[in-house]
Amino acid sequence: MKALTWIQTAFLLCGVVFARIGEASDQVKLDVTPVRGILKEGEKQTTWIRVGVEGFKLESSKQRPPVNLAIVLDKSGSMKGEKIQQAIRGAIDALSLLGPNDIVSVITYDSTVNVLVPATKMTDIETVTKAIRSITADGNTALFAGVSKGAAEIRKFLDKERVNRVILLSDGIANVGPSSPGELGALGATLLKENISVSSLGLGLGYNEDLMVQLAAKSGGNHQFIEQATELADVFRKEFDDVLSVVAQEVDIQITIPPGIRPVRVLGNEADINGQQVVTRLAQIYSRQNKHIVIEVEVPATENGSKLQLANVSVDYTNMKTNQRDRLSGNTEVKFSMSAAEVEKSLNGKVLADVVALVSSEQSKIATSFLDAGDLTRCRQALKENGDFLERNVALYPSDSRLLELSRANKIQQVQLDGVKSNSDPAANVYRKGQRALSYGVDQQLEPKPGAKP
Amino acid sequence: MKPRSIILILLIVLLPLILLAGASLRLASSEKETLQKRFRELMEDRLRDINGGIRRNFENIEREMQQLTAIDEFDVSQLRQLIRIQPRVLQLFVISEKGQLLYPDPTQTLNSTERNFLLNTAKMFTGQDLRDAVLQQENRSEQNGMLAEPSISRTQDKLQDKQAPLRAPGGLFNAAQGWFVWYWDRGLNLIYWQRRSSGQIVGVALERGRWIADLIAELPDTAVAPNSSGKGNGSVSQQLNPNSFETRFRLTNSSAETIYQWGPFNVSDGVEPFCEIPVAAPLHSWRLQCFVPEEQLNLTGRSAMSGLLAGLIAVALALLAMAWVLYRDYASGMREAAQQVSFVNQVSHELKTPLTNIRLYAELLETDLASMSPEDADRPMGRLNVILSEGQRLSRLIGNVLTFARQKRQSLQPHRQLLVPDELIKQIVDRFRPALDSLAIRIDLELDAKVAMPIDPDFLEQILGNLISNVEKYAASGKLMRVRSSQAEGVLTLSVEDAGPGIPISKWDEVFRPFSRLSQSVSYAAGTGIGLSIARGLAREHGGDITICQNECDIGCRFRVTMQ
Repeated sequence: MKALTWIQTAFLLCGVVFARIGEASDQVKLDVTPVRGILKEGEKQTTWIRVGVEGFKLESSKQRPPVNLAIVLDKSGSMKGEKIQQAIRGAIDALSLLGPNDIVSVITYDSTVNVLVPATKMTDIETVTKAIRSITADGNTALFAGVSKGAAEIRKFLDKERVNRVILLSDGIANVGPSSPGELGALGATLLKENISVSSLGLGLGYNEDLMVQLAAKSGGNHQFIEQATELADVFRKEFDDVLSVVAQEVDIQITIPPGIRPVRVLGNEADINGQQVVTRLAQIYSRQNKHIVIEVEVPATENGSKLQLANVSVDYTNMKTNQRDRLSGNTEVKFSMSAAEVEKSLNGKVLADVVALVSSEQSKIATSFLDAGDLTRCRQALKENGDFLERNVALYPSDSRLLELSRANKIQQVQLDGVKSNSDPAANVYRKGQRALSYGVDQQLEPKPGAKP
Repeated sequence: MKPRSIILILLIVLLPLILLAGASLRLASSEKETLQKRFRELMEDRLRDINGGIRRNFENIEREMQQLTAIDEFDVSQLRQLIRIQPRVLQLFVISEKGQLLYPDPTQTLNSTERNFLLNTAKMFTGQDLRDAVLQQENRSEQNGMLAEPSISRTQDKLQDKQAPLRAPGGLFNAAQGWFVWYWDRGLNLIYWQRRSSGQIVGVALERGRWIADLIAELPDTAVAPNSSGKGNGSVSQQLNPNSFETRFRLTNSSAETIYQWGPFNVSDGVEPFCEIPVAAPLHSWRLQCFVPEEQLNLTGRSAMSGLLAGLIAVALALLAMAWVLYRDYASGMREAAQQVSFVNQVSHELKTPLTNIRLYAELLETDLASMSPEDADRPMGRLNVILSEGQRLSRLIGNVLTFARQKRQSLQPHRQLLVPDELIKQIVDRFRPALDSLAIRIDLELDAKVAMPIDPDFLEQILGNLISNVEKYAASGKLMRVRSSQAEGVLTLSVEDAGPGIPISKWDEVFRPFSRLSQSVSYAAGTGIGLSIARGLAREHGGDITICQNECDIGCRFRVTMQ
């Protein structure tokens, strides 16, 4: 009997050990790396630090956290016909991915808003799909009100243990109520504070992509540019897949830069630079997602051979598997050398690629803002400079296919704008939407990039 | 039926109806007005309800912000953290007792949010507006003690208001708090501030997009109409029920742009709202509007109109019924009279045959008596003459009655024969001679119509007979009858003159009307009163007329007859 008890105890112990190991794999990983581990001595210079987090793998859909979704559908007159039918089909199709613990609400808007399905548990899918099928398109576009009501429905069951997401579909320009990208972006930013994200799905070429991108970016949601209504089902499913694979939420990253080093800007996410402190929040990390931000810093002239602490990083996040607030920390330092070869050798190609991608994304945004202002010459010039910058870095680190992709995309953009005479040209519109979606993808690192995969 | 009686009946029906319609139209229009007024009040009540919701929403925010800004000591990182986690907050600020901006401190390094905030609001801190608002508020608190009223002071661009639903226990100074409105970034921004007991002012600028979104979330949405049938046609109370028809409510900002709207009624551009009210503090410059379909407004008055219409129809029906009853009575009276006339006519007709026989046999008897000795025949002869003259009188009477009836039936046609009028006249006068003689009436004949002309002897006989009979009956006192005749261009002119009492000029028309008599007294000379009427009718049928003329010597009466 005694022996048996021992064996049992041993098994139990093993279990504990295995559980510990399992738990360790349920942690977000933090990685803080400078572009160069060794910097040139004796000169004031700019360098970049990459702060990356990696989501753990969600083992199965059973483990996934429950979601709280608000589907906000544009049913204005322009959605008539194929578009609304595809949207209805796509939404209903995607809803089948949800389980009885999930909460969903459906809001439609035209000139006014209708809370078609108030926030409800997905136990009675029939009622929800029936309601969605009844949607017909007509009227104007009260986009702001739609999002407001969507967020209000989310708020009814706002819960840290849930993934709270508004999915907004629109094909047009908001023309009832507040309608500037700034106002929508500001609303998105306040929603992020509450752990609500808004994903915006822009259908066709008619929608205001700046507004939709701002709303998504500031709230930490996804933005998708959908050229054809037939893609809607896929887009909805993809969005749902994303929402259903969240492993961490409210990821607050705090970076402390030692005195003497000046933080210049943060790329990859909205951040506040409070003196030597950089604070930023990621809405969520998806399963196995690699997500990073880049901090551009100005390093003072430093003596040969000395070391300098570059950044102390701490990350607080809600682990959706354990529903606990976890904390990670890390730091990085650089050495200074007088050998140019040593400096060159210390280049971290992957980090460089990430940095270059984000910097070029900023650059392309500037190009688009020139286009918006109607200054096509400077727009082309900015695009060209961006292309040169990308090419230089491709040469520097040729093994990263992503930079090559970006370089290629830049060339396509330049071609797209060939012969464009005004910023209202349809081709300019195609370029603009493409650029915003690309920049957005780069900034949010939504697509698993080949180069970023371990 | 005669057109006159139709008009009469129509008047009986229409006149009161028109009067009634006019009166009730005025009544109905005033009722429509009161109904619309009630309706407007109802909609305004709804707007006030909604406004109450908005007010509560801002009171909640105010409470929340009051707690948030209850900061006496602070360090910058703590405030920054607060800003980072508070969804409603755009930026916090702290002003020292001396009016110096402690946070965000422009002399220190700022993050981008702080920098943007200062760029947008620099004038607010350097100018007098915020300070004035604070001072004004504090003065008011001192004056009113604990009961501060919401401010109604308003300037073009900035308005201050204060509402203090919550008040921390303590002195007057830490009671001061309020909303401040500042415009930047193309819109109205709300700032809540409070003065702490330390004297410093802690304020919070709200994120505009957020409080608008929260406001929208508090307001109703457009529910899908379950069934739009059964609209209208209800009772008044149902029509006044704002849920029974489509409306549109709208929240507009100070530039009259729509912020949010709900309700299924689609308003076209440029339509004026049915009613509107200003939004509760601190959004004084915004408005709540209500739109109602035009048809609904008309519908509200329509019930009154339909009631009125029903009443009018009822009255019209009642009047018609009355008119019909009256008409039926009248018609049956007419029918009865016609039956009586026809009866008299028939009787007269029946009387004619025996009378003719009586007269025939009386004449035979006269010839018989003529062959007898004068002694034996004298007395019977005298009596027989009475029988004969009375028989003639009766014949005339019956003839008159029958002619009258035929006149009424309009079946009187002259049957002309070529005759010498004077001969006829003589015969007729001769027939009256015994009767006139017995009344001692002298007969003067001045006949000058010797040319034969187409003439109906019966007409002439009846006309002249009636005129002579009148002399006999009414003018015997004159003891004279003069009959004249003349002919010119195919027109026969007769005149019958007497020296009797005459006819007053005022009655000259009247005497020709049937059944008219100069005196209704029973003792007045016997007669039916239709003689002159018949005579004139016959004369007119014969292309002439009868008129009364002034006699030459101003006594008696002269009838002038023309025939052609």
